[in-house]
Amino acid sequence: MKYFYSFSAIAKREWIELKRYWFNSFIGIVMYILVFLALFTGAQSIGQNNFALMDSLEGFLIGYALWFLAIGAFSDTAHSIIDEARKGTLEQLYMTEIPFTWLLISKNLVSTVFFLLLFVFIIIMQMQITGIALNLDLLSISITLFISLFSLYGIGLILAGLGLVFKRIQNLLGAAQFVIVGIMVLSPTTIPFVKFLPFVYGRELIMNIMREGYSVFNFTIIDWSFLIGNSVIYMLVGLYGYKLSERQVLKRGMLGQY
Amino acid sequence: MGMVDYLQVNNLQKLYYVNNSKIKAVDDVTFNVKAGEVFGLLGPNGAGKTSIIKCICGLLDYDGGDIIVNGYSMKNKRRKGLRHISAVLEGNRNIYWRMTVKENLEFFSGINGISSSKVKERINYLINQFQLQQQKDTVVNKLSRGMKQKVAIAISLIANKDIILLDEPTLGLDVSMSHEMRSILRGIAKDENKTILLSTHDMNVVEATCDRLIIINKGKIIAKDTVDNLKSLFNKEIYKVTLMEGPKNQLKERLKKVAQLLNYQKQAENTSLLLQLDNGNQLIEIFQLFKEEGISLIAIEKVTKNLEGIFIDLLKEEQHEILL
Repeated sequence: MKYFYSFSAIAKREWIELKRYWFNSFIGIVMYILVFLALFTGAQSIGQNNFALMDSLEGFLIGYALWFLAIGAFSDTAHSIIDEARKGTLEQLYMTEIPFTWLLISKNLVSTVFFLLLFVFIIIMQMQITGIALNLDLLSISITLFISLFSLYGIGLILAGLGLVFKRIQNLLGAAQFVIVGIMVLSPTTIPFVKFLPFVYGRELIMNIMREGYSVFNFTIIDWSFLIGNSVIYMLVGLYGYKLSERQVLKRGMLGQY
Repeated sequence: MGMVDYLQVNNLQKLYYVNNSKIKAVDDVTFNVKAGEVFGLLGPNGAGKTSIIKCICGLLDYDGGDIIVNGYSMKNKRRKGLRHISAVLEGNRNIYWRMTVKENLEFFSGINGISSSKVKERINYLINQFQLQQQKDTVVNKLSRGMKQKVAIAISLIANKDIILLDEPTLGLDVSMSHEMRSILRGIAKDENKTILLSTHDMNVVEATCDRLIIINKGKIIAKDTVDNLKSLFNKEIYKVTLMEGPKNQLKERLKKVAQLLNYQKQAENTSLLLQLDNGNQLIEIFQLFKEEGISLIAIEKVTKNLEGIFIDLLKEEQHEILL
């Protein structure tokens, strides 16, 4: 039960912060919609076959929403740890008998629920703006997104660890955004090995769900294996990378310094 | 039966590597803190106090020795040790400044694995105890430094752990808040029956709150005893003598044979001397000297050293030893 109570505490804190600082989140979504409108209008005027991000309007719409979400997911982990270190509260989180890893996973679980709601909201907004109809199979989208986001949290953990050790990693975080653009563009059907990259397989499945009407009930063993395996492996790699950084940080006493 | 050692620090060593050179931040530090005791870690800035505190609460790996918290080594059983420790580190940074006092208390009980229904009473008790009734729904960011420190200490008590570590609890507080903080600390030890380890460079805090203390400088213990013992040990027979006129050189030399002349101040209307004697009987000899030289005595008073004076003496002594 201790783990449940700590999860509840993290969830409540996230809710309080979201509620109290809703204006910042609201402006973020408004900016996103405005940029989407500009890109969409520009893309329409160039022509359907010349999209830089995707090969169709539907693909562009989903790809852009997923990119927004992916950026949020990996930077959420990295930023939140670095932010806690800067404020000094990270040391307190390390001083509980509940493992810090659990507190981190709790935060990721809560963020995932938030990201799922956000994704559905912005997709509906985009569908209204563009008049494009997509298959909104909420169950399939939620399950796939829920699982695949953990691969990005793993990457976020590595970046967070680097942030604790090297302190200033803004440029690396900036560069990672471009890497995620690459992840959104690369297709495992044309370049098979990219399905080993984080989030790629999940993204492809979500594309198929929303465009082709694919469903979790049609997922093959290979689909499930890649989806779950990819997230588990990247999360484990992320946790291991973070632990390596943590060892250095605890040795040098830098947990509360930023 | 003696009290149980809740916290044992045995031959603790912490090294830092700066520019390829090794710095001993904590050098063979050993002490123990008994249940219900208020123990002080006194030392100047950079003495190694925070490093010791952070090693105890598992935020800093140590290179030698061990720390045992209620029977658990912080090297191998860190998480079990943490069941008994909570801490307020320097600058009351254990609080979420964008959450209210009550929200903070609820959050920190939750992440320690305590259910919100179980902790309700405890939250109300602490809010009353720390007189935070009016501030309980205020965002911490809007509170004064002293209030924030109160909240930080209240948070450290929320999980009802046995040992509370406080790093510089009165740093940056005004005089009245510093006084209030000292009475809060005494109250915690007495009413809550907590074991407190506090680090400070403020001698008044130690004098007012601690049962025992260690004084550290450059990572090493230079004194370890009860506050009372240290005070009596270092309070030699020191007297401030005020004379009508200054003693001539000849008298000064004669005085130095009887007592140690610590200070000599010549003012417009009188002269004061600070003399350290081996025992009070030497005063008779000194009076005799004054009589022989025809010097009029205005006043004589015994000087009692507070902890600050002792602390400065110890640092001077250590400096002297290094120079030798």
